[in-house]
Amino acid sequence: MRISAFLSLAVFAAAAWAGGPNSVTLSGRVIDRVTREPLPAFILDEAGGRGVSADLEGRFKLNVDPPPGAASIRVTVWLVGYKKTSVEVRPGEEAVIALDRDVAETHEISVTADSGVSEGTKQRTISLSKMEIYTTPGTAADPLYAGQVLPGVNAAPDSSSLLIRGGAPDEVGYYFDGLEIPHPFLSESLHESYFSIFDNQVIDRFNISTSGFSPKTNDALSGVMDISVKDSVPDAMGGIGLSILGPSGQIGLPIGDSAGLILSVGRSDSRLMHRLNGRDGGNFTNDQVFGKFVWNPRPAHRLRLYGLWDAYRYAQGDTLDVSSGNGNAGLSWTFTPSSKLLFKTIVTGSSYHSVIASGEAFRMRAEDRSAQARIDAAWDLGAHLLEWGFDIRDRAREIDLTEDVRQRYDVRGRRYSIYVQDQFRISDRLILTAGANALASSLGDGRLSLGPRISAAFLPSPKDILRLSAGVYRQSGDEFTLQRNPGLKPKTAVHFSLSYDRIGETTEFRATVYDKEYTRLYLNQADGSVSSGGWGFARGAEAFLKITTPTYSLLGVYNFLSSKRKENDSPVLADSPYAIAHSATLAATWKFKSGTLGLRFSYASGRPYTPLIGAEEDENGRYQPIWDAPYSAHYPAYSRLDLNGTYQFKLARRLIVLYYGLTNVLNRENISRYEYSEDYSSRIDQPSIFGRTLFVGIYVPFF
Amino acid sequence: MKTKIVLLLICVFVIFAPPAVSGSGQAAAPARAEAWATLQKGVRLWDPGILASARDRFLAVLLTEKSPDAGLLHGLAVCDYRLANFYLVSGNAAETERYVAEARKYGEQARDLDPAMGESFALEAYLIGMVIALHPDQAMGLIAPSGEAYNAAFSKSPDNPRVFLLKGLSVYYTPEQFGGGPANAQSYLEKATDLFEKESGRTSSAAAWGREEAWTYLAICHKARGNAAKAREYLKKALEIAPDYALASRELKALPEK
Repeated sequence: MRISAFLSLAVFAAAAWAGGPNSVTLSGRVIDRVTREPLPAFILDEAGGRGVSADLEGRFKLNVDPPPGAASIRVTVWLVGYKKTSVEVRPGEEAVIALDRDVAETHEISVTADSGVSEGTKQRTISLSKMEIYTTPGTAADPLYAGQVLPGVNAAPDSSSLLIRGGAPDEVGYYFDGLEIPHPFLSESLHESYFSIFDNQVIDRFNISTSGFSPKTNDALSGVMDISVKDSVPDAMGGIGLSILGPSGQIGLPIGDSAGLILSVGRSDSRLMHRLNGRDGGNFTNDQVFGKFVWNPRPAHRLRLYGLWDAYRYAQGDTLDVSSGNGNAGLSWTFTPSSKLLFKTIVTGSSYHSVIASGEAFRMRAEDRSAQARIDAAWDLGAHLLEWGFDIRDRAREIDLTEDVRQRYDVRGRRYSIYVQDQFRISDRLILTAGANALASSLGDGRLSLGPRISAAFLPSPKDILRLSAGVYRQSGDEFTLQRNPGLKPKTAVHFSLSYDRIGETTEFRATVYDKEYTRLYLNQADGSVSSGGWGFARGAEAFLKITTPTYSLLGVYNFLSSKRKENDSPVLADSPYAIAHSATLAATWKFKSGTLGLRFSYASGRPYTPLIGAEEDENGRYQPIWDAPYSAHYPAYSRLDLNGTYQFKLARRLIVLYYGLTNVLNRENISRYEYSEDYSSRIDQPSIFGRTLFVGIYVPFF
Repeated sequence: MKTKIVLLLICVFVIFAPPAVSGSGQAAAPARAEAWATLQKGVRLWDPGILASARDRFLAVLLTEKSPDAGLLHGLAVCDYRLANFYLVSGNAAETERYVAEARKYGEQARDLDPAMGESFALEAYLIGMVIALHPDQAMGLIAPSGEAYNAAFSKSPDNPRVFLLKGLSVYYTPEQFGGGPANAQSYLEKATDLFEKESGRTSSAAAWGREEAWTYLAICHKARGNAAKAREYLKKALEIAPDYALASRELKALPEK
């Protein structure tokens, strides 16, 4: 009797999970309250303990045994990332259950009010992946060139300088793993800067901020490029490459359980490339070394030692000889006493020298040495992310110029800055960021200049982000100018920006309007001094669209810009020399099983320039130009079609990647600038260095 | 007689008290063990229905516990990982994405509660590998995080056989030109089987999953390298541990006759 009673009880208990004889069915749909998207949530009958998961359409059916007389059943509904919800469901009715996102969960994705565009896995902003740096034609695998296809970067694709929203090239700050890099380009002393010193192989991610950027990055008026290097070497990895420019190699080596070393070396020589492309003229060579050693002596501590060095030389017969050496070294210590608190200390030193010589007549040697120390801290308080820190930089510069007579200049200055910022997550839909920095220089007027900033990001849905930012940005300016004009105040720009992002699984879209008002720009005076009386503006709009599918990706960018400045030699408000009114890029990349093929078309309306209207001979028999109104004419529009691709194959069980690029496929002669004969009677068009150029190379990864 | 009635009442209470209602540790513990056992069964029979049922059981426990612990969240992550694997093999990318994403979220919550849980770090690393399989264009940015997660797993749980099993499986499914394949996976799986044998003497918990799987994949590696005798030996070992393990049975049948 007892056995049969137990058996019947057991049978009844087993039936309870599957649904008993009096069971009824609850059915309905679970959705996101904001987006109305279906959710595959779990629905649990609280009393009966039975549960079921909804399908991908959010639909569910759950058999329950209602208590006698119950008109409805209380169920708990949950999906990871959403708040647990308890609701009454009536049998026979089709319930619609809406879930709210869990605020804490949204921390997983970093939404900032910074209108940055980046490579990153967790930051919710429009982005370029590292592979896109390689596969987008015309980028020469250089992150700075790749940055030009992002909205807000108005430069024609000839120079790796970033012209952000009408700002001058020197208005952009460059950071490399937290190290401020004063000279990010291989060559700076020609009319343009070509190629950066950053090796894409060792880069982990990068971010270009075009407004609303953090007060942590100071002394930048228009934007910030922040590059991070790989920070761990889980397994030995590396590769060697050989292109028509020369060899290169990278290696990552884990050292024990707690350390790792990343090394990258490369040598470039343009002679073979120029010969293959039938190019006459100058040649360059470049040697580059990067090293980073990471050591975790204890779980909460991380030490990093960096070195970044390059030597560049460009020679054009006997007429021009340019050489430069650029070394940057740093040591950083990160201490995380808890998962919510972080301190980072970094000390860096950089040394740069360059020599430009043109026969016996002209020679300029420049030296620039700087030492910098900074401390950053971040404290995660849940809804608030508090960041603060300070930095101090000592910089010594020297110029030795020989042109008829020899002149020497030297200057030494110190810059101090502090910052604080709070990112306040008011709700899962609204993030407010407020902060400020203060900047002072031992040169200039010596006072602290405050740069307050505020920005907000509003997410009407998880895919849509509305960003609004306003801020005051300061830049202390060239040390030599400050030394000669000690009353100068920091140059100032006030930014206003409004943007809308839609970031879907395959489509990213951004539209932005902005206004940048400049004050205290440097203005040359008749007596040779410089005042802070210059001003100007840059106003514009941008649109960006990227579609990524497993087989192809499409990218389209359009920038409109209206910018005028009263600055330097321009005593009246005139078009800014950096005002490229319309620029656009269209790029398509097809992905095959064994490679990629990309096409890119770039267009930029002509930059303003000051036209020549004549010349007159002075008392020494030299011709002096007579210029028209400043920047009152425009160079012809720029356009270029580029192609590139990769092909992967195996040889002796080893993966080989063949890559190739054809820059300026149509060999269009774009005008880079005008030069004039000695008596200014004839104009010489200086074409862009990017004529039709074929580039090929192979890369062999090894692990 | 009185004692017998009390005993009977206790038994009735135990049987009828649904684990979901009690919310107590005593009642949740068998429900949790039952969820793990269902998961084991789903894996051995490679049945998505049973795997989904295990997942529902884990969720039911999770929703009724006042403060879910890392082990429970990790169990859910393992369930989702198994389901993701099933749908990946079946070619159902949407379901694979869903379960990979959910598994990573549960895993993240588990590691928040127990940062020393090396096994969860190993699972995260494996799941990142699945993301790479789904989105090869994201590989460049994901290789380092995957390696970091494995490093954390090895340093936090150097004696956990499942850490080595997951790494071994990950290496096995990585193309040879990227450092993967049977030859490279073998050493991890050998280490995993060593550790499983040591562990089996210490625990019989259903949460200690993966023992028969490690032997089976070690056998598959040997088979791929032409050592059928070793493969047979290890598959038999796997079937001794779990006679209903479908993968081992299938592999054993597929081996050439001696």
